[in-house]
Amino acid sequence: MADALITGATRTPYNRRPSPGSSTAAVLAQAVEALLFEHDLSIRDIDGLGVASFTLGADRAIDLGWSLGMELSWIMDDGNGGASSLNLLLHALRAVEADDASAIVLVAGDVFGDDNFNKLADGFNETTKQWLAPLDYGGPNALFALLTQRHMAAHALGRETYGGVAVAQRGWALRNPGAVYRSPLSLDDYLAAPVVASPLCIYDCVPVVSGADAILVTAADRLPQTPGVRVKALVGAHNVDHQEADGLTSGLASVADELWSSADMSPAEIDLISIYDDYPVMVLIQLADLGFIGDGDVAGFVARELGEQQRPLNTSGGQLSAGQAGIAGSAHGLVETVQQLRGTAGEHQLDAPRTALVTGYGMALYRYCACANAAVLEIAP
Amino acid sequence: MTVDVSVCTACTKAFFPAPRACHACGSNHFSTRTVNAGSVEEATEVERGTRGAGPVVIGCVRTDAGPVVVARFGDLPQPGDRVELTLDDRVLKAQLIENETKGVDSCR
Repeated sequence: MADALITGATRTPYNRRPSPGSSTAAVLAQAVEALLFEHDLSIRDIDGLGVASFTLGADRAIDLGWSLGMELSWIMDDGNGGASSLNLLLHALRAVEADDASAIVLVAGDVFGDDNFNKLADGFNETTKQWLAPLDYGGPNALFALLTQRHMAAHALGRETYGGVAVAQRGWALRNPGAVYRSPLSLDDYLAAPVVASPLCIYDCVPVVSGADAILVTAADRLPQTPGVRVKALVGAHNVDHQEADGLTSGLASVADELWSSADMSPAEIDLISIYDDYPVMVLIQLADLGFIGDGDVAGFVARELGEQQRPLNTSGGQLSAGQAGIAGSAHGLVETVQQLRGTAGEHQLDAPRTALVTGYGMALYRYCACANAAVLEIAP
Repeated sequence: MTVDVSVCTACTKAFFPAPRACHACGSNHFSTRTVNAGSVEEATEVERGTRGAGPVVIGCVRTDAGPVVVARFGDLPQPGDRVELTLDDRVLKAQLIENETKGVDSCR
């Protein structure tokens, strides 16, 4: 069995407004080409391609592969939102281990014009088309405003706890020239910000951007001189409650023990955390699900670990500050984590982290999201 | 029009929206049951709807049949408020029932 490693990670610039003439296919191709250029690889070195996109239209992985001149033994599409990139990674690792492919590019990205984000929100799935779009429901912001209200009531929290997440992530974004929000944000700024859907304000909601993220998965002997990242464990848990609960736990709660025991690690051994951050409430829920908030004191965790100690969490600024390029959000934390572990994070590089935790969360079926996955990563010796 | 939930004919579990199979017992036979009312769990005023209207009040209602539905409100309700549920041109609407006792949860 071949040894599979993540050996590269890159991101195109994120843009609030797509440049004239830009297309999803062009942005995905830009990310693939940047990844190959970084590693001095040619298109002929790649034998696997996985694609995640909401806005690629009728095209699939093979259409992108054709346009880039790739000859492929392994192709895959995944449209499962915020869980898609870790899902693609799971399959890519298995493919490399089984010698079905030896160099796989996974790319995720979207381009949004003036109105296609609302079209995506209204047409997200058949249930949304039938039961939510006719309400003029306001998209995921409305659903997660309701979920945040439930979370506030269940844990007796005020807005400042969620603001603590947004403010801490903005602190990291100040060091990341690629983040679209880079001006300092105080808790007072957060509390005084315009409301989008109570209790959510504009800083609880991701800035929608256009762009793409890509990673490279290779057999260890393909790029022996390149620092590689080993996936110690990767688990998924989807539709664990059939949308009959309150969304205040994700599927990760049911697989956390399996994740840590497979990785032979504990939360205390993790240097760097990337939690899928579509909303601050989901950061807190996933952290709790995975055992990072041991005593259940959510407000205390935010004040202590994120405020005072500045534990490395979503160190690009996360989607809340760096931007959410549609389904590329599923790869955003993964790319950040791999870059930090490999020492290629540039101006916001941390001091040699060795271990990391990254999650995915997505696909609002009716009231909250049904898909969740998580991986423990370690720099290969 | 009325709001209908699906009820598994084998185990009586109620669903909304309608599934193709009951995850509790595996049956794929359902009957429908009209549900006229429920209690507000929480609601929010969205500054702008996906189709540009605004503000729009959206909330979750625990139907008397069990499943929670997402509904459109006229005015912002309180948690625990009793509401009548109707389906009006595909819009699932919740309207306050004035003379029923309100719940005790505080408004947020």
